[in-house]
Amino acid sequence: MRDPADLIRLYCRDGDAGAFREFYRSQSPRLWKFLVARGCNPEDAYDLVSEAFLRFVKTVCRDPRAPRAFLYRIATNLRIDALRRTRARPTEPLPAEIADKSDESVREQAYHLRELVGRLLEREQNLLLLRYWIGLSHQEVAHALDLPEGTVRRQCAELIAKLRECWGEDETGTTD
Amino acid sequence: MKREPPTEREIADLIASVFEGLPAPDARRLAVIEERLLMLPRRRAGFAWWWLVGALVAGAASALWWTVDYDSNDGLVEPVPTLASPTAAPSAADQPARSSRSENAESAPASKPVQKQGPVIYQRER
Repeated sequence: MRDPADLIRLYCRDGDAGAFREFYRSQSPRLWKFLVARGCNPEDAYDLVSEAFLRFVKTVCRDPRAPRAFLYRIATNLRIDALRRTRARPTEPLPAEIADKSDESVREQAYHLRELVGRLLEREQNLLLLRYWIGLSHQEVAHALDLPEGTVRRQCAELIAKLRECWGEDETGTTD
Repeated sequence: MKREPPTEREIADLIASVFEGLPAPDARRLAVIEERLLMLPRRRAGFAWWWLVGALVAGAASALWWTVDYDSNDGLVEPVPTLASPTAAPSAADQPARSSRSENAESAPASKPVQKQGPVIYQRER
């Protein structure tokens, strides 16, 4: 699979529709999942994916260096706007696929982790998911969330440590 | 039984596996969005160059127009009338009226010579 930045560069330079198609097919399912993971209704997530890509197509050629960061920046902003309109908190149940495939301990861990991540602030959840799930670099996360790169590095480390600490506390709490 | 919490590396990996396991979207709906996007006109990065070219052409045309306009009006421009210098003495036609007004205001000596011309606008009193 080609690098997303190369695909968008091809699209912007030569108008290569195939390159854009490849980029879209590699990114849109994960973007949809990201929006659902952020508490978006699955139906609304399709609309947000459509709107995010629409804005992306219109503006990405001005600076096609970090297209994934740019796409997630648009999607995150759209999600925040939608959240402000509905004022709803994310309440997604544990996905059924995980429960079916994994054994009890893994399922328990996954549930626990989702619960802990759900307790974090909105921007902290975005940061964690973009870095450790979507796989953006620190620099790309900084671009996507409009934060300094150093802040992203520090907060990532702090958040992981915080999750680990909370994990330990909850385990102690449940055993007492 | 109390278990050890996962390490930081394990937590990072677990985040990826947990959220990657979310149900996949409907491929048909994503394909509809894809087709809609591909029908949009592409915005090229080099678009700004066309503005620069347009501005240069417009500037050249404007300069040419002004040059041709000035050349064609050369024969029609009226000469600017020459004005008398503000420091010059009043004309002869103006002088009697002024002198008559001054006679009414104050009685000037009749023997005083009248200045007919010359650039003097100030005369020291004696």
